[in-house]
Amino acid sequence: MKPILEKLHQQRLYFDGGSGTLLQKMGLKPGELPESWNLIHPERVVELHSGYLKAGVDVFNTNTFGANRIHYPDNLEEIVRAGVRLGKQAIKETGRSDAYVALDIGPTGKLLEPLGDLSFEDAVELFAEIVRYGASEGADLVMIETMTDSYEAKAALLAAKENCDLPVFITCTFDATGKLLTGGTVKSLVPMLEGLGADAVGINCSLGPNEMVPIVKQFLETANVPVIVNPNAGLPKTRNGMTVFDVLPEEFSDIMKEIAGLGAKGIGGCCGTTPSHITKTIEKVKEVPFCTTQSNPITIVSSYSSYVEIGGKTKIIGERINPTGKKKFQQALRDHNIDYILSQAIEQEDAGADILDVNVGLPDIDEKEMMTTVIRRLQGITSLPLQIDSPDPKVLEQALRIYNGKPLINSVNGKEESIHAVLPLAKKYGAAVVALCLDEQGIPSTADGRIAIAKRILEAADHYGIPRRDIIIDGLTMTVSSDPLSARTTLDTVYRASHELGCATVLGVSNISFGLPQRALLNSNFLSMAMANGLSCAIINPNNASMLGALRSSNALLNQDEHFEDYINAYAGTEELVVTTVNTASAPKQNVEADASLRSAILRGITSQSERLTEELLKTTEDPLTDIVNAQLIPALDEVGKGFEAGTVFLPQLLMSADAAKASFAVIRAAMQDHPQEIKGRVILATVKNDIHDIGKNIVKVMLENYGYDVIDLGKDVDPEVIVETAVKENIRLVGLSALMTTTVVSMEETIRQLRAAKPDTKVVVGGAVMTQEYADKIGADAYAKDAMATVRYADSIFVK
Amino acid sequence: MNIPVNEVKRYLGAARIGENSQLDLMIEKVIHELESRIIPHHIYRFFPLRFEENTFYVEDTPFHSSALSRNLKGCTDVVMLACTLGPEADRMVKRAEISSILEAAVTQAACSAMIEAYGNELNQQIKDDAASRNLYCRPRFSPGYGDLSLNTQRDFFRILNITKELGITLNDSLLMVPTKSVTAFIGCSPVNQNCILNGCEECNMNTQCVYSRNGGSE
Repeated sequence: MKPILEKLHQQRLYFDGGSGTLLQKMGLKPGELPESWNLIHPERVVELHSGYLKAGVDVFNTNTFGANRIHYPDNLEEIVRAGVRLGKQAIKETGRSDAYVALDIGPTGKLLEPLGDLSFEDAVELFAEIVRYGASEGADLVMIETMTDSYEAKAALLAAKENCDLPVFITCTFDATGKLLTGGTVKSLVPMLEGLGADAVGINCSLGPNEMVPIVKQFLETANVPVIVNPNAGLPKTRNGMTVFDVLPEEFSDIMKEIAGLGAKGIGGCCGTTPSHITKTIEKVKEVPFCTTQSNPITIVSSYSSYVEIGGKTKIIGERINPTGKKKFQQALRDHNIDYILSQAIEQEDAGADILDVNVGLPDIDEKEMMTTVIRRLQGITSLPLQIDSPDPKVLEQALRIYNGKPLINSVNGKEESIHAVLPLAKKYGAAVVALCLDEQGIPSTADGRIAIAKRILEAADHYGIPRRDIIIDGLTMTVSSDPLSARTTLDTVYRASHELGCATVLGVSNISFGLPQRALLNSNFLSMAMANGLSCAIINPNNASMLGALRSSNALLNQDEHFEDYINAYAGTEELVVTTVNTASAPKQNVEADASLRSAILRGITSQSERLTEELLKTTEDPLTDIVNAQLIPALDEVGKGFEAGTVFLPQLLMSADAAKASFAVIRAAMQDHPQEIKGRVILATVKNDIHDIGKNIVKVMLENYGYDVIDLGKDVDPEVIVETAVKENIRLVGLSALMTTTVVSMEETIRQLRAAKPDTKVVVGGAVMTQEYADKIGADAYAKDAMATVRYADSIFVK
Repeated sequence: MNIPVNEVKRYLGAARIGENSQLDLMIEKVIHELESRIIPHHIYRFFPLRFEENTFYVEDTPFHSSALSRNLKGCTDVVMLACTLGPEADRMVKRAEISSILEAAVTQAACSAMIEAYGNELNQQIKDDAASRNLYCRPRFSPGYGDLSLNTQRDFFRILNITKELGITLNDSLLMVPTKSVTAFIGCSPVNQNCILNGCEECNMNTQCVYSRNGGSE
């Protein structure tokens, strides 16, 4: 193998420029797939490469940007292999045996789940195939480029790392504000890419060199590996219906010289650049002295769009997504009630959490499946980075794999077994790790003992190639009432890990006060002390006002809150406190006095009031079912429902009441946890295959649940087979299907056909924007429901005799 | 980027609800959040236009539609436009569903109003751009509308390189993801014609659609 990596650390490398415009000049038609030329016009592809080789590039891309199974279902292998071969041929013809052939990999053109319809593992396999062909044909490196989605970038990187030993470079495409189209930033993306083992990272396409300058600066501030910069020849302009790029070689090369001076190690071009752009650029950049790559020791964890720097201001890791000691949470796990878990995430984010710990382990559930589901769903609704918390390496690996961003692992410890199970995973998936200062001998009672273990873990991490910045030391909080020295020991450990080892630190705090009264007092004071000793992250409940008070105060006092901004925002004027939802915020006080019945609260759709009144009613009744549900809730819902049907109540009002009733039911359910719930029946809801519109279906779900149904929500874009299988397995009597487009009614019809064959006694009710009674009859549905209320009425007609 | 409250209410089916402090507050909150968190993206280009009966050509790609060919009659150029609110809008709807179905519905409606407003803003920009070339614009017309098949999305995406430029993708049934995205043709003619109808009035669902500006049937 030619030593490109050594070279990249010792000298600047030059990359090739655009190919699309050049191929068009050679006769590529609009709509013609450029990679097909590897087979039909190989000589022109060689000519393209030769132009750049003669211009002096060190690395050039094979003509395989769009070569994947989606675009070439029949002859992918041939196309990719020919692409690499033509690259080598160009090297031979130009006598440039010092140059490198980069296997070029572009995006799939599909959006990954959960927003899109390509699964992560399918994406990995799609890229893996290209890598296998290209590597075995003799490419010198893999160049992943023009990525606009961090998740797809991760899939491509993993595929490259798992299927070859070649160096892997990756460049992504940003808009002028420094964001990926999917929302990521340099600081959220680069730590993930480096963690996954990218040997160089960078930016290409979409922008000209001028627009790239500020983004290149961010790259250089963040990256620990060499940075590649491949701009377009300016921003695209249209002339006579053709896209043109009008930054000419002279100007282009001037700015590239500036960019090289900033510290970029890889210099080339993208759309609209030509061999003459590159020739000029090489000529000028050669004058700029080379400097070695800086390392940036900051610990960063990230999600698909945001990042948290660990260090400086103490960060909050929310601890609420954890079943330990929480009956309701445990029940939610057993019932597969993911929405409840998600609501815990939203509450913590609104309360100020920076990172969320995710622990979903229970002895009687499939933790791996649950962890995967919860992480996917969490990443659909929150951009906070996640801390993956499981003792089981198999669960950890699956979670790390599908996570979109740079995750944090909770945790590794000093035991040999733990070190060798967890650290290789952290290395492969590029995670930061919480390191607990305990080992086979237990928890040392002195700071010396704990620091010794921390050092051992750091050495092991070094051995696995994990940088020190990615190890976060947990000094371990022990109950002070059973050992009066324990708080001191923990604080000393935090201090020394931070000041002697130069590591970031973390503590779970509340253990300190176990067995003592007024625990919040001890907890908050201990937190402040730990922060004064250098604590970087606190694992706490962010809904706890006294803990948050201690945290904000200490950050302010320790000069970690510039202009006291956080502190002032939180505490200047009490009315700014704890306004979490509009429902609570907007409940006008005078109304509470005016008519304080639960029925009225639900009619007017005031959630906070419904919750409060339900709680009050629960104190006065022995039989909530009769006195609250049947006497107040159901009549209120019925009144709103009838109004909606009569056209005097409109959809938003129906939904407001639904929210209020849902909140009231939740209070009742929590109080009656040990009593079996009475349900009218079980109903499957799904948006059919290929359809991605699900708000209507979700409205129906809320309504059915309020009316006493247990809803199995299969989501959107659901295969007919899944619906049928669930209906059979769970013996379901009613299935509700939704479709928004005429084009997806076909899937609805197919689902009904399969359902009839497998389970003829199940009724089907259909709805959605394009549905009509006539249409419903035509595709063989039992009923058409024009809205959520109509679905409820139909369900009642089946289940309530 | 201004999201018009009355349009949000129209999408929500709330146009005829009088003052309702709770709903109004919710709409205000959601609009504020969208306006601060969503950065829409777009691309548009002018192309010379060529006709053959009910087919017109952009570059060398044919598009078949008698409705759109009628709309484009007399045009020398056509603009192809694509714009999107991006994936964050879809995430915000999902997130709202967890805590409040009302908030989810309001977010959904506000996103629709936002992408429409953005489309209108771009349309104005395109009109000005066209005027500088002495061209006048026709109403915009999207794939899937009238007899312009949704299948034309594939060509539309290729010609504007939409997936790369804007991150919009097509799923297997040719729906756009992220969902709050719009593609449209806008005809440009050297002759100013005022009589061309706009939006709802031109649509064959005009009398049945609950979102119709003219009311539609209930």
